Amino acid sequence: MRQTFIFILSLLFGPIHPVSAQTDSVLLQRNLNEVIVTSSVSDKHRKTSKGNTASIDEHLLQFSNVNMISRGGYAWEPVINNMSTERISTTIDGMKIFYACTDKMDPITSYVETGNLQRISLNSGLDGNPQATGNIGGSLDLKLRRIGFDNRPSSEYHLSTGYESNGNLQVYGADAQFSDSHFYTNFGISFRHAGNYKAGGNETVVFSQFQKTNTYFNLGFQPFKNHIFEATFIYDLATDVGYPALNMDVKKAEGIIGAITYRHESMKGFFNRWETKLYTNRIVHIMDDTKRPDVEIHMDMPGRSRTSGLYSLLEGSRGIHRYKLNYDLYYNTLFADMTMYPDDKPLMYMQTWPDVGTCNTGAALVDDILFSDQHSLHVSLKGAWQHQKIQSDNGFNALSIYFPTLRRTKSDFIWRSALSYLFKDHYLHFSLGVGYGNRAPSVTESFGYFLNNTFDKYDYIGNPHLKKESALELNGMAEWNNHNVDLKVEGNVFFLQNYIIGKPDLRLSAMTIGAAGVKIYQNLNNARIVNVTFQGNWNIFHWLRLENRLTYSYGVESTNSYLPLIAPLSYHGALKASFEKWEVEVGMEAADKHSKYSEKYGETETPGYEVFHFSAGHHLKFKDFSVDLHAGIENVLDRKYTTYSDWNHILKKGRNIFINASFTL
Amino acid sequence: MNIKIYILLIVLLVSSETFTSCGSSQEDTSTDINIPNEDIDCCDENQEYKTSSYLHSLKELATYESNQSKYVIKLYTNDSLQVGYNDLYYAIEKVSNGKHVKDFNIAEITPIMTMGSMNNMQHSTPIGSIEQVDGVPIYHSWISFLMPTNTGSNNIWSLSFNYQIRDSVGAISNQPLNVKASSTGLSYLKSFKYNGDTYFMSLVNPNNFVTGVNTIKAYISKKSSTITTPYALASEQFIVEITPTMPDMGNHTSPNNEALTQSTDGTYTGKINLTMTGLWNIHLVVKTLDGTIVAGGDNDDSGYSNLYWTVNI
Repeated sequence: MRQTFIFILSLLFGPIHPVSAQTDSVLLQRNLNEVIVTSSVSDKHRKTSKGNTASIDEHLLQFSNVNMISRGGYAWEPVINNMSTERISTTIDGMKIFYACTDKMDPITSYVETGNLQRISLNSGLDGNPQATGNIGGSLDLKLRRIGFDNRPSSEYHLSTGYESNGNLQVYGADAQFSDSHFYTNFGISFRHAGNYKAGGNETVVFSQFQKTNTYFNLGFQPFKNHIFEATFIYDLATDVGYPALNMDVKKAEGIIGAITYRHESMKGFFNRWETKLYTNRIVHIMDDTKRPDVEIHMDMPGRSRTSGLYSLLEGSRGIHRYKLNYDLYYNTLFADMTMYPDDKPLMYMQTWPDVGTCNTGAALVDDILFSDQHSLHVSLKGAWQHQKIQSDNGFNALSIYFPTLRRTKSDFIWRSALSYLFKDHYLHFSLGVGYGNRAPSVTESFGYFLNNTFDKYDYIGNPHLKKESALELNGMAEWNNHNVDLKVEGNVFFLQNYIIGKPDLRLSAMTIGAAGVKIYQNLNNARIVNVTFQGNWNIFHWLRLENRLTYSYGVESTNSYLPLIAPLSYHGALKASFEKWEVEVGMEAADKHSKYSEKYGETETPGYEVFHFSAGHHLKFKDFSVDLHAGIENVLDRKYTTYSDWNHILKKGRNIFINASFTL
Repeated sequence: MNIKIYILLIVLLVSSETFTSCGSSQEDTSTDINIPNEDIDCCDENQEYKTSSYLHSLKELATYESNQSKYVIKLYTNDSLQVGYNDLYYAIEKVSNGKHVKDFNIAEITPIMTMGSMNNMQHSTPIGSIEQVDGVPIYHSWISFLMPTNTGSNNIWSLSFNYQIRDSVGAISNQPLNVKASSTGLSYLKSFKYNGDTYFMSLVNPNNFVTGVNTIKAYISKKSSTITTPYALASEQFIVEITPTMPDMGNHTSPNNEALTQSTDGTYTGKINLTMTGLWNIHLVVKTLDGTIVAGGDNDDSGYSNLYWTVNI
């Protein structure tokens, strides 16, 4: 019933009026999508309707092929093409950074704040940004906001503040920027705080509070024309973060990110620009069970991730080619342990990530070949060599119990390739692409030790003998756009071999009290994931636009069981009006019952839902400053619902009234 | 004789002295200068250093004087004596120079418990063989004490043994030893009955266990028919299946453990896998070589054998 309703909704809006042209920049790469993070009202780029105080997670939801796994009110885990963390790559301005919590409470996106970013760039599938390694589902590059030089010295200040009724969320941010022809700097600070939120029907979701402070600065120096030195620093601290889907919260999640860059622009010759960046980052993540009632045994569970690296990128164009050549190198260590304190008994200690050091170096080549205005070919290749070492004796000895032939080190050569053909003319745009590549197992998949998964209630142990997982990707897109009506269908299918997933081992005894058993990561013969999106946008009038998007996903593995965390049929629709300095939007989001759930991997059925939202934005310009105001209501009807990607079926927010203002001086 | 001969003699004497003294004042490299070792009892400097270094890592338990007080016999252990298996080391020092005696023997080690609480009934306890430690004049033996010293109840352990230093013999008799009870909750000694006899299983030094794969060693001793005779290793052979569990973690257990089987030197060795630090119960199922269970066949609430050692790593 709901399925039919959704389908009819997306068909209801057919093309009628041909009207004025809408100029959109041509995206050469079919697989590349971007969401603008810092923007003003009436900016035509894809962005969130909430404005500048929206969280990073809310920005990510603008992408059609991104879903979020939510464990609470904060730090949602991005999923691209129905593949999550192990199968995607996340970089910040090309810098590799790795989460520090064995339970994935801290995806990389949680260590930056909206104010740090300019755009979020998403590459779907095996065609990643040059610094991405190990991506199969896709890659995210969070691009930092660097003001740049300005021939006329200028400065600008921003203040933003926002409030949301559900959970009493408060957001405050301030930043400043100065730039002239030789120097620029921008820096800022922000604070975000929320109490427990309420699901529909006034039901409080306990332990969903969080608090986050973020501060950053960027510096740029151009001593000689086109020779630029830049420095970036971000400090992000989240404290007292609750995770209602898990049985622990987080006392502290702290990220320190720093980088220095040298770039040479407008070069002559084979390459026209050269950028080299040196970076380092540290993450400390400390879990906390002291706030929970009914804790059987109190545990300390800290985790640490440190990465240092560099990349050097050359870009150039010659004739019909536009190419990039990138070399990167990084070294990362991941350590996590657990100390348990049973009442009046000796304490227990074990390491869940045995201090694994990973050294990875690779080279990438990207070439866009423009045969003509209409035909182009995109080629992308990357190869990387990775060497890992178990640095902790304790961790090595513990894993040796389960893997007597365990070796201290492990090396892999990983590579990926993507090729796509694009055709674009006045009305029609289509692309056809293919990709093939592989990834090495993650540290958790290779060396994790008794990591409890609250979803399926199993303790997971890594498998150091895992083979690389490889994938063949086929993708295609067809779009008809007469600048009034835009109809698009895009889809991809991934054929994965040696698909890595946990399988129960009945001989083994679980460690977590009450666990269902122990799973060890294994390579499954193969798996298949299919994603199809239909989009229909219609500019009804020049000031009124209707957007529709319907997404279908399917995932199955070689024993014909459904894969877990594959989205059900989903619909997003919005009617957007923009005129003068106003924009108003009313929209809905719906999903079918999640019936193709994976019982084998611990999923249960999730009912379907539909939720509505309304928002309005206004831009006010005064002599010395301007203001962007946003207000709106999310989940207007206060629907109580949960989605397939809410861990342990925690409930989503009920009605939420938001209001925020951004001042620019 | 006339004076000429007398002078000749003197000249000869003087010249021979001169020559010989010249000769002896030169460096004579063909023969080493030999400092005579007056003390044939003791080690040379090299051995003395090795012996002292070895003993330095141990704790001194007791000092006994030999007859005529010429020597002292010293007793050492790893830390302190407690119920269950204990390493004991014997070394002898010469009183006059404090150096260690290199040539001696220890025999007839006899520990006896006199139980004031039970009408002064006496019994002995399992002991091991006496072996010299590699390369140094120190003897190692072990004693597994069945119970602790209890001065309140007048339960006292005493030790007797014979010694021989070169050709003189002597005996140390009934010297008290202080044996502590096991730490609360821990137990390194278990017993079982088989064919009417009592056997004792002594776990060797579990404080050496670490997270990971460990070699586990134990001894199985048989109660002597005369209970004041030290209990020797059982001549019967057994196989002891081991299953370690963590009672505080819902009886989480580890895989791939190897049963204790006897080696040629009499020790029982196996492999025990400990997945993390903490309190572990090592459940035991004792079988004869043909697989018949003779002890540990009954389970307690944990679902594992009710016969177990308890260690804390």
